[in-house]
Amino acid sequence: MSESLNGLTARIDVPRSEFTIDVDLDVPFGSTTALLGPNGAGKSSILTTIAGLADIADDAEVRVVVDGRVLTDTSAGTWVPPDQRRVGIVFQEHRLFDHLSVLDNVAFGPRSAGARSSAARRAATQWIDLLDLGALVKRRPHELSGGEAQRVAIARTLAAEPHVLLLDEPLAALDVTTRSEIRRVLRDQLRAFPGPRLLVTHDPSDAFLLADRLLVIESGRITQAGTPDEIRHSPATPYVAALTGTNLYVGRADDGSVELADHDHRFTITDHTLAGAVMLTVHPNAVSLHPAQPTGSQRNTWAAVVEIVEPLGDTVRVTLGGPVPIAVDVTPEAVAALGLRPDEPVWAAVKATEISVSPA
Amino acid sequence: MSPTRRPPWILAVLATIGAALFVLPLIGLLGVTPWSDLTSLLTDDVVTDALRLSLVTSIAAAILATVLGVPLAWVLSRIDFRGRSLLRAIVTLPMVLPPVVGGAALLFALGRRGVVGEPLADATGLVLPFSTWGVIIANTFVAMPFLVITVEGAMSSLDGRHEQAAASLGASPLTVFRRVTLPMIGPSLRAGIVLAWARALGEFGATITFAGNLQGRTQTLPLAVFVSLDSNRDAAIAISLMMVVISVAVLVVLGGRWWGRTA
Repeated sequence: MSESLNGLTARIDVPRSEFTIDVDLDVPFGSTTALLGPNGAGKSSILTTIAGLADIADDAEVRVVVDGRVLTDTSAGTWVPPDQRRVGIVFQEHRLFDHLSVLDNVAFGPRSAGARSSAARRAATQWIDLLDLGALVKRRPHELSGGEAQRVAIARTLAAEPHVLLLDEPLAALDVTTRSEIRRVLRDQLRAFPGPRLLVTHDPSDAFLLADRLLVIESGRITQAGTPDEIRHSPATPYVAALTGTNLYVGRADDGSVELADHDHRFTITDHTLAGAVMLTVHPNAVSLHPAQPTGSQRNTWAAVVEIVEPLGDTVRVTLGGPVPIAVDVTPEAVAALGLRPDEPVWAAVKATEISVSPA
Repeated sequence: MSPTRRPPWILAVLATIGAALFVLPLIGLLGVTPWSDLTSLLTDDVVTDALRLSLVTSIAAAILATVLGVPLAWVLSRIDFRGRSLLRAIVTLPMVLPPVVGGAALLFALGRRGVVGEPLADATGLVLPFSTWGVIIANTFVAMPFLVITVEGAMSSLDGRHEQAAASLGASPLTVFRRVTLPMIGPSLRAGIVLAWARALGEFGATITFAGNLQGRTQTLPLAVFVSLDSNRDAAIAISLMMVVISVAVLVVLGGRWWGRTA
């Protein structure tokens, strides 16, 4: 594995009772990689190993390098303590210090780096302002809502000026509305963070919306790597297909329809009250294919072109091009009946009730 | 009274007898108290010397037990080493050992002819037995286990997640201890200090064995009560009453704030 001078490389080979975690990671400077996989796939262990917070067993092989600096190397007996790694981590549960105010929580990193109390608070205030936490500075963590606490936790991690940013399921503990708010905050902060960013999540929408690159991990191994589009369009395993199959779009809602941001298409939805930026998902099962334009009320229909037809377990995954790229799962019988082949035209239809929309 | 709160009669009877065990001695003490002579009895040199000495030595012992006991509790809860269980057993031994045995053991170790005491006296001229320092050491010996087990229990119940977060923010192990671990166990630490101080204030056996009974130097309030019982019964009663008042005052002042809260 090549180790660039800019970025994070990690080689982790850790035997566990159920399976062996065996991954090679390479997160370039200034990019966000998402480690996507089910609970218990070993994602969090990878993060805590990189951060130096996990015990390393005798039979494990680990090498972690950040910007050319070796942080862990079991073959050479190298292990830099967590407080000297400059590896920042945002946890699923915020882990704020309840005996300190919001301001002092955020100032904790600068204080630990040796700044005086007043200088540390000044440094913290910049992050407080950036994350719009000014009204909360005097509160204690137990007086915050889940979303506020996670914003403070993000500010606290960034204020320590880490060289690498790790995020361990940062949205998993939040309710749906808060999740989209914090996801927006994270998207902005990830973009602004200069070093490598590694996000661990089990939620494909988080991975697709926040990362440039995805690594899918199953039972301790990376089963697929690529950009969100690559992974969505050609899933390597049935699990990846099921995990990432959901079609996800961003757009603007207005009076019962959504204008997609990246595609020349408008979806009709049932909710007439939504307005502004939204995230829209369509399950591959919810799309039906027809030889001609179908009729019926409340339907989204459009003419498309078949791009890829591939078997996926008992069903067939059809990837459509045209105005809106979309993955569709159909039965093998339907493929035969419709004569679905690459480059053939087909009509696609989705009921408005099958489209789920949430504020983005 | 709600029906669910009505105790079965057998529990009520036993609880009443149990309560009587605490209430009756108090009534007995108040009944024999020479109220008219109280002021003169309590301003006697013997009493004021013992009171001053008791306060100084018990507070010094509480401080010493905290300064040494908190790091000891941290090591016992955080560091995995051979003999940890044995060390924990030895540290808690003074809680079950008769204090007079502890005092004798201190004498053999730190006495003028003791294994540590003799070289210490030769090198520095410091002789611990029968000195105020001896009282402080005997008090610390019996009081520190209360602090160690309270603090160690609280530290072990922390799951380490906040300490990990602090380390990843760049805090050295000492900073993590000072700014995260200690504040998080604050209520238990305060309870441990109070327990240790209360135990030191009431200490008798180890003190009289190791430090003797010299007025103004090693005669604390409990020792003063003991010697006065023979010579001056009224003085013994007056001092006892004073100790009850001090103890009750401490319980009342600390009660609502510390004991009621779960650590």
